[in-house]
Amino acid sequence: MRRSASLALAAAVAPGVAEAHAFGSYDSAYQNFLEGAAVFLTAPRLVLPVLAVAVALALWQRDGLLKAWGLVLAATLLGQGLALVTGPWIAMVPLGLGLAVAALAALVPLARLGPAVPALAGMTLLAVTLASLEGHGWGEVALATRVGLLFATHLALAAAAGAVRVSRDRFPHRATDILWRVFASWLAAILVLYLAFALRSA
Amino acid sequence: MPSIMRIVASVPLLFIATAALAHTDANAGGFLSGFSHPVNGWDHVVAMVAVGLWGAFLGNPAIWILPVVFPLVMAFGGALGIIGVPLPYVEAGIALSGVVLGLLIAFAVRAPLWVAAVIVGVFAVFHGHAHGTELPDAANPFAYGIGFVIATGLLHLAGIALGFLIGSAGGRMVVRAAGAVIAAVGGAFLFGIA
Repeated sequence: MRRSASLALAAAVAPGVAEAHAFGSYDSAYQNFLEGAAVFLTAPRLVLPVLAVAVALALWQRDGLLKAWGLVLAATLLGQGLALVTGPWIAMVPLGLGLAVAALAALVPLARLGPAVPALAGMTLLAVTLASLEGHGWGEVALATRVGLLFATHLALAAAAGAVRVSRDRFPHRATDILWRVFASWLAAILVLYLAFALRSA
Repeated sequence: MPSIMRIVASVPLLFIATAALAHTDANAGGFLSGFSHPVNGWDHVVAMVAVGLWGAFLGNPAIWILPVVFPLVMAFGGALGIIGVPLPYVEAGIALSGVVLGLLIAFAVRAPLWVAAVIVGVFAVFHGHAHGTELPDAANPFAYGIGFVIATGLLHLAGIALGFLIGSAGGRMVVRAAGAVIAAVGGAFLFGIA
């Protein structure tokens, strides 16, 4: 048991692949905005955990995202501020947290977990933002880029959570919830594989 | 131009050569690679169909819990294979999964949910580990993972669809016969016949 725990801990803190994005600086604020958005949207390792959070929040409560959004937004802003102190090790963290969230959404009736769900959501979004801006300080990345990153992250979150909510409202059958829990299990399975590949590459 | 003439005029387009789709290594480790992995062996296929079949046989909530547990735990087994953690008797475990799950269906065994989940989970580790160790080095984890999970899910769905036959007496016979076939296939792999 201790050996397994030690191995797991070693794997968790093992340096990840250096995936820091080399942000460019453009003359146009709009181009900077698009770059920030693209950093998130073109990275499955960042998108998948956010999808997991969205599904979990929407399954937790009907207005789950709305209730948790303040906390989630604060977490992403905090991540923007703390990204300077992160290194390559941060790459694994959103994958691990996304996996935990997706697995919980698949296996556990989330309403029973109460405030733990938005807390996990906040931690995951914090980790996603830290990983997006890995190692970059305030002066290194244009404000418009940061806004683009924030926008894209929350757009994905809102779109996915909205899809879950709309489907549950339109098809208020238990089967709808089951299908989303199956989807969450698939997300978790993909994240497990992604994490394994990341560990192998490290 | 009359619509029928438009259709006739389009016929020659059918003979225009399509893009060369000869397999290259360009997609090694991509979506198709991940999708084909769970279906490239009958020992894998019968076990995953059996999971869906047994879940349908056990009814709610096993009908969806088992197909949730299997891909999740299989991915965990795959992760162990990818990072190189050894697991003994992998092929025997895979073959045994067909035998055990097939017999459970053939004999209409109604296990408690937690027992069924544990049985399915244990065998899922073996299946996943085998896929993980066979993975090409140049794999795209995102595309591979999606293909892998979708293929597994579709096989479960096939089993579930077949399992809905238990609504009738004749259907139950068909399902139990399918379980016997699954067990036989598993046994063939276990004893090296297949």
